Amino acid sequence: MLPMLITVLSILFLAFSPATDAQGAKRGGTLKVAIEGEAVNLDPLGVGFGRKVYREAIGSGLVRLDGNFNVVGDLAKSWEISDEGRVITFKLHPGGTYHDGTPLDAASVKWNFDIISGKVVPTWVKELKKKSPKYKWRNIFLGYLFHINKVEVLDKYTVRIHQNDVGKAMTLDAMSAAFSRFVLVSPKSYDMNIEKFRRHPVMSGPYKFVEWKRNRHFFAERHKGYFRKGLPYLDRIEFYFMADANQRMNALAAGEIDIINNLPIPLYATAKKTSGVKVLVGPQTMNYAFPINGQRAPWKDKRVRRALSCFGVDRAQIVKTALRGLAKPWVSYSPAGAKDALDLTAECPYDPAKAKALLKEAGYGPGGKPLKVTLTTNNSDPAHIEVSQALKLQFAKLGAAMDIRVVDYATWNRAFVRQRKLQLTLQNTLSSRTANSNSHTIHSKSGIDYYNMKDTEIDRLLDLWRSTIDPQKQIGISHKLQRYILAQGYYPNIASFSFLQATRSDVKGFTNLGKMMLDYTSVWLDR
Amino acid sequence: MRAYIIRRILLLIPTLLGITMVVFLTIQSIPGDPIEAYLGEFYEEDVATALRSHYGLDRPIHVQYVLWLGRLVRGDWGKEVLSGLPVLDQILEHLPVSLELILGAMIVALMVAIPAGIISSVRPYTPSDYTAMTGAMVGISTPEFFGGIMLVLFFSLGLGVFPVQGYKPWSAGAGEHLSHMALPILTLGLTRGAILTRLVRGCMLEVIGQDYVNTARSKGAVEFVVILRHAFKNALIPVVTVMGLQVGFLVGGTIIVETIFSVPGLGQYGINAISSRDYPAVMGFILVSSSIFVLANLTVDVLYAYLNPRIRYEN
Repeated sequence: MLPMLITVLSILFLAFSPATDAQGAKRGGTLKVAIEGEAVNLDPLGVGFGRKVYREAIGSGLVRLDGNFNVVGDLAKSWEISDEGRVITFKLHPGGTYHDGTPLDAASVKWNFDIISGKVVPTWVKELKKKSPKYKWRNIFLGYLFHINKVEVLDKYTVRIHQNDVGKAMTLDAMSAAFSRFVLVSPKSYDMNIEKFRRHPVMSGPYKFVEWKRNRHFFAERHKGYFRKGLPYLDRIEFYFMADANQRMNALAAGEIDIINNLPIPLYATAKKTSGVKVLVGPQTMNYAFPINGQRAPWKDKRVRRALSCFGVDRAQIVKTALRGLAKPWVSYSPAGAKDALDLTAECPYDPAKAKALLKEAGYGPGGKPLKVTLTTNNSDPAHIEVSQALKLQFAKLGAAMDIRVVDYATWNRAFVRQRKLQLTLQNTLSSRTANSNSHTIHSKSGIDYYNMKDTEIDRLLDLWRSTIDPQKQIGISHKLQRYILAQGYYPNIASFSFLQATRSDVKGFTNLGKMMLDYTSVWLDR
Repeated sequence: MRAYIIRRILLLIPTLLGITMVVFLTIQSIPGDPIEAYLGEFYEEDVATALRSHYGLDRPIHVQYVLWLGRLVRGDWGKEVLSGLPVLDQILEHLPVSLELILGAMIVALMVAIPAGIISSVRPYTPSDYTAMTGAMVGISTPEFFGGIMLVLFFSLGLGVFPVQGYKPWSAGAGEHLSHMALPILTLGLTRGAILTRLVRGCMLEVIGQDYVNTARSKGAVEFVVILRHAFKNALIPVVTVMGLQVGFLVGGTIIVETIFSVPGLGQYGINAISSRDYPAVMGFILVSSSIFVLANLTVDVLYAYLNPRIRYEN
């Protein structure tokens, strides 16, 4: 009797326990994620970290990144590069659908490329243009997929792109993890009613949109027509907007949420010692820098740039204090965790005497002109204030007076990015895989080169990189570029650091991919 | 009294007109605009220019203001530039949450302030007075962002009785809703309670020694009745004035508490609108919040007449 009872109970237990796959991942459950920035709307073809989080939860593209930052297939099962890199032929996973049931095939992928190049104009844009002739719309992905000149459908699941020489090398990199990962929207839903789409996006990723209450939550559920069979593991994913960093940490500690997407450096120690919480420290793919405006005094003078950006900064001290030891002193343009990182830190030792000598040579200091600079930063990161104070003290030792102005993000964005009228600022950059990842900040033709270097040699090296598909050659070009930037004193970097994330201990299968990509496809809950 | 109320309500129109005009000019004069917030860092200037023209943001400020006002008069509060959502719908969604916070906070404040203030005043310079006044001083000097976090540490992470943050609508169940609102309401209410406790005590001490109170006692009235009916009612006038102002200040106070506890109220709506320079949303927020402030003051004036029948507003 007892063995029979045990058998029956075992069968019942197995029947009602969560299903697992071959790797032991359990199916089902709801993942709750805390986010610190809310999206302005849900149109995925736009920038902003809030939109990025949602876009990557419910979207999919041709390629994505693996845990080692290698480009791997997403919708693309495989691809073939030919004609010296000018042609890429993608074979797609068959059988997938967009969230509205539209087949996810080569024709729909072509449509997505064609609205970038402007070969196809969405109906809603045409209608708005009729009402308001000045209306202009440009797809955000045009910024880095400008070089794709033709897209062909070879068969239902094969699509081929033809590219110009300059830019051909950045396609896969840019589509997988640039500031706006290239994701596919349902042509049927996107074409007609943008107002509806901004509130109810229809894409092709592992989760399907359910509900969005702005400044409150965003819910999505498993998409049954997802092309990667067997995924995702979760039934549902819920994002909760929590502006206060301490409260995000408290909610994680209390088990009310499962993941903090962006753990501020000051909360690292708290998270580390909270039971039931694990901290994910990714590779150091971000830089913490104090960008200068290369077109404004006193930075036009290379000696001043070199004095303050190279020898005048005690990076180790800033890392130890303001950055809580969670960064690595680093001077190169490519961050320490990038694939083409080149450690040039030893070439910029902290040497106030040398910095003073350079300033004197440039006519500043005792007996010369007084050196005064204004650092304008924003209130988006608590570390900015501490780093500003540290820099002020270090500059004072060189005889340079620094005023600190703190403004809100919108004011800072306009002054720094658009008008380029800030003399000096602070910035924790986006994540970079290579020197090209954030090269829009330094290429004078990008239109958004807010470091204002305006140097044709930088443009030449970047164009060379973008035209070369040999990875070794790219690394060689990148190293030349990094050495050149350092020699010119263009890029005052302090350190490289990691994007910190924290999860409950029972969250499995989540990989920290920096700010590059947020992927919840393989996440499961060990509950 | 009716004529007075009507006159005051009519006066609301120029007051609100003035407020909206000043705010419209101010918000337009600070750097940034909704198109920049919408497009982010990566856009080309001709796209931004075309969008500004599309949304009418390239017109002179006074023209934009008149157009906004014209639409408002016709009942059209406009649409948010960033999301395209109607501003009025958004306000109607966020406002009840804030009103509930404000109402709850005032109830908590009164529940703390009236008993504590009265006990302090009838037993001055005793341990109960010192305790109440020390508590009030702590409450006044504790900023809301700090008080809120302390309450979370104690009630949520310590005792586990309330959630750390978040909001559940009434439709999720009264228990769920109230447990989520408890800490935000306590955070706001305890600070206001501390301010009012000191005020109640001070006002009570002033009236408690007055002749009419002694007369009531000498006529044999029970002490409880003397305190509540004769002393407290007369001590209420300054308290009501401050309460009215506190309701106004609470509209601003909710911004911090809503941010800490992720409560989707009007304050959070307003602060997001300001950060993203979404002008129609900012104007909607200002219009509603200033109306609450002005109406709270009107209510106070009307209450005066009830509390002290000698006050008459007619000529």
